[in-house]
Amino acid sequence: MKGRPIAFLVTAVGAASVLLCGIFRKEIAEVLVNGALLCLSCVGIG
Amino acid sequence: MRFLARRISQALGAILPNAWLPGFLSATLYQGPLKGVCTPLLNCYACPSALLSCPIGTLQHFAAGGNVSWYAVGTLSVVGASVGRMTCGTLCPFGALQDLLYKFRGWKASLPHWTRYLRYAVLAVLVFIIPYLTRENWFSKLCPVGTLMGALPWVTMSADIRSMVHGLFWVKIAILLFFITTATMVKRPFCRAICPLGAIFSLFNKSSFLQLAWDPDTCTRCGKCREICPVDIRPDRNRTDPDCLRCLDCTRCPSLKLTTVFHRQPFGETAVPATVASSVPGASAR
Repeated sequence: MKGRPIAFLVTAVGAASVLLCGIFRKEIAEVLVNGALLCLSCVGIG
Repeated sequence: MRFLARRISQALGAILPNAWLPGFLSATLYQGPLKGVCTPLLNCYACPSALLSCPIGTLQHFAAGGNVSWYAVGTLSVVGASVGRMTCGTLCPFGALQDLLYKFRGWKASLPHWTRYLRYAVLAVLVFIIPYLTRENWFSKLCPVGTLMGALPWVTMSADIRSMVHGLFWVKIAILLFFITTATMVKRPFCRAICPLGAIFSLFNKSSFLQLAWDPDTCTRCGKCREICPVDIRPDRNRTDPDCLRCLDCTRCPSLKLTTVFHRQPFGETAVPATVASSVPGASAR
């Protein structure tokens, strides 16, 4: 129980670091391009 | 009141990420900057009105290219570290649909305990391993949310897409019908057994900022919290259960409340147990 705040802080810092890493790798642009195209797998024709 | 608030938040979770209505009128996809944002919900980005991107679709897209999407993993981790599985319980549109389907009267059943581990296998195999090996988004090919929000609108609207329909589409329809039928008998079968997004968020339930607090002094162990729980768990036995959606329906009981990971005594000072209180002059038990 006492370890939970520490676990949260470690998780939060780790999560923010991973997110920033993705942003610095310019992944948003690829997510944008992928999202702007119709996902044929989702529609069931790909 | 809390129940109504959850229904309203679920309605907003269905409407706001799918608010680009011209998509339905012109049979086109939204291609603006918001599509670069991963929604923390299982919300299909092939839906004509979708404003945001599906995180599971994004993870598969990167896995199919031999990469890991740090951006999608980071977004989901930040949300998970903050609220655990709360988005599943309060915002997810497919979860809301299953909640409503369970209200149908008829034969009810409970899900076997082992099925809760299936979602981790689905996450590993269908979202990461098979897309990496085959270069194709295999979870999306089978995803019932994609069928409901992407496939059905597009096949209805577009003759071109209708002409391209083949066996996979009917497999997707069968999977959707299976989960719709099952959801009338079992509480949230897809969320508990299959959802890879739920699998990711459930990893954070133990250490998330928001936590469920339980007061052993006022709890009578009546079990009503399990009756109203949308995933059949006992929050008085395990407040950080990976299945817990943090929907807060159980907080209608005064023994359970929402708190934060830093709050050591969410119910105030620890009460003196009744047996001790009766033997200590001047002490009173709650």
